[in-house]
Amino acid sequence: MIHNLPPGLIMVLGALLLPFLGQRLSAWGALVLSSLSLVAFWTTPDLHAVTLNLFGQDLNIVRIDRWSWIFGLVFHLAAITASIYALHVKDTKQHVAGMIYAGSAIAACCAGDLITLFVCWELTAVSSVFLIWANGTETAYRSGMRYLIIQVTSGVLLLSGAIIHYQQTGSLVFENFLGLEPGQRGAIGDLEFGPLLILIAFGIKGAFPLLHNWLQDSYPNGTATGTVFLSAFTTKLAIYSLARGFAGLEELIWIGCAMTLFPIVFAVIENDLRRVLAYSLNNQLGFMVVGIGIGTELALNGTAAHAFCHIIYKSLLFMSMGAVLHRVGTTKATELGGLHKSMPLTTVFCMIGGGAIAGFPLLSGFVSKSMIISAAGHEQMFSVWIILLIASAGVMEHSGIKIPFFAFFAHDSGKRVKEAPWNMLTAMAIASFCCIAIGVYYQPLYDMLPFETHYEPYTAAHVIMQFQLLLFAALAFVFLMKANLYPAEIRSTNLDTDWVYRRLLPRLIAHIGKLVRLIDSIFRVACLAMIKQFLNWLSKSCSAQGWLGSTWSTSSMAFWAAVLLGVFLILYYL
Amino acid sequence: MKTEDDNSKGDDSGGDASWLERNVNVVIAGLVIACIGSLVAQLLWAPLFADKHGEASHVEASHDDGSHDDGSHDETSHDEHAHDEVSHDGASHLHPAEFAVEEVFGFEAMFGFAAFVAVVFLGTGLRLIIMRDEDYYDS
Repeated sequence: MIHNLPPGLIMVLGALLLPFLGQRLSAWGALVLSSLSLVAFWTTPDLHAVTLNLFGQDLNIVRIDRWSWIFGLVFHLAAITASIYALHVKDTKQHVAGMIYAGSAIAACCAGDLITLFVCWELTAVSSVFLIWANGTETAYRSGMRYLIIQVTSGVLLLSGAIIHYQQTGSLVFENFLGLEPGQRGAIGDLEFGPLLILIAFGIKGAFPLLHNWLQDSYPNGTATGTVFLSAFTTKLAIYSLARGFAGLEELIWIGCAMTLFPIVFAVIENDLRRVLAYSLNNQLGFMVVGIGIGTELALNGTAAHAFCHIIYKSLLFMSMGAVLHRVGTTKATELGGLHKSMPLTTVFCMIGGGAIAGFPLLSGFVSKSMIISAAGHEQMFSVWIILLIASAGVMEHSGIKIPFFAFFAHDSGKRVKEAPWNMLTAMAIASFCCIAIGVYYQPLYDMLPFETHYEPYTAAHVIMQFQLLLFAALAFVFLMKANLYPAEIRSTNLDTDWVYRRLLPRLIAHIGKLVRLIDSIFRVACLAMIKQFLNWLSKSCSAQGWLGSTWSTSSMAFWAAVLLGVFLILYYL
Repeated sequence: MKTEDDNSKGDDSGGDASWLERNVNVVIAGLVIACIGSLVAQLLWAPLFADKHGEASHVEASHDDGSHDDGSHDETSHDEHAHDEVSHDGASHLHPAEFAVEEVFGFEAMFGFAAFVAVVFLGTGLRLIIMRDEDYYDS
């Protein structure tokens, strides 16, 4: 019976009961809810589908196949770890928002039709914004507003696209819009208007280049625990949806390549370490988007595996920075450093996360990222392969080195704080364990992937080459530091595309307003002057001395009467 | 900007410099040794890569021979060749080198170093264009 309800519904509905538990217990309630939901999900039979007839329309509200299974599972794991991480939080609102958010994301990746997907899509947007607003600052409020507007826009585009698609094809089933099988590729020109809108909707949530900035704007403004939730679901839901709907769309390869590259440059100079992580997240999404674009079984497996590993190590990194924020009160690199003395465990966990994202052998990133890079290699896409290698070195820079180094080592800030609370440490320990476990014993993960695979990540060549890439990248860091060439951390704001809607547009609108006011005032003054002149002339004319007011002679009257009669006569003959 | 080395002198961390801070040079030496180790490893394993690549090029060569025998079958033999490669990839992903450049000694090492430096310099350059005051958006 429970299997006929959308997975995650336990969390969404259960969340509404959390306020009744009181501040102290609601955190535990959230943990129980996500665990219960995992049990229900785990026992769902394979290839399960439930159809609901609503308003004469068949809605496929549950569709569990290999794609939904792997995303659903890792979403559950992320929700449970994040719940443990947030056990000390007394703010019930955050637990409610977190559970609805995670639950709707899980339901979304198990939705078989576009309308169910849309409903869950919007629910993730509306619930998650509270995790940003919970911070309580003016900056967080404004940032949350921008986040909400952009996320809801994405939902509206998805709905519009779905309706147009339905009118054109009569189907709401959520499947590959190009009708491609794994290994086939299509171009964006083959897409109808409806699916194109849906692609843009996915692109906004997936942080495509130029549509990305909501991510770097909002995530660093979330609460210490809220951002851990945020990092796991929204963007990976977009990746899942792209893989489901647009696998094999060639343009995605290049979009993905751009996504892997530009954030690494921004990450170098960003001072807020949680924003560095947001850029790093964007770069990791790029790898997955490339995999979706390549669209072979190996590439799609790589995307699914990478999303799985990424959710765990990215949560871990956000958790470590959240712990720093919780204890120190800031994640700005300029104010941190030397924390390894007072937060040794957090330091170790952060380094495990950094190693995993950089792709060190024996950690999870290695066994998943390799698949995508190998897939590019197998397709003989040399330039894509090179770009992914550059991006890998870039990941080493911002997440492998910069995050742990500037937070925990570097220049000693003199700050001596307590180690993170036990629940944060437990959550980080679980995530770290997963990073290592997947890296060492990857077969269970590979068995879950959408397609059967015999991929072998640990070939001698591959391991050696990866070590060379990463170790020499680390050497480059030492070299740049010693040579004083590494850019110093500076308290600053770095402009990104959000400048367009936070500065350019408001200014443009202000200028246009000024121009309109100027034209308006000129026009008014001119009109008033004309009316005044006319009235003057009129009063002059009608006065006793004016030509209208004065007495006229009889002869002139007779003359004008004759003229009038003459004109009448001519008109009569015409 | 203070480097790791500056910290190791413990000038502003009081008397509680940690082992890591006192032994930065040991850490760096360890890194250098690991780097050299990864290069040596490639040298030691190189014969193994060469063998595998040898097999692949052998297959390639035999197909080339076939196509030279008869020009009219050129296309089919190419198709076969492509098919062969796919099945080779599908059967095992052991074939290490997808591109010739991977076989250059220390390619990934040089690439990693160069890419890292390039990314950092690009970032420094980008600062000139996009860096503003911290309260830029608040003002």
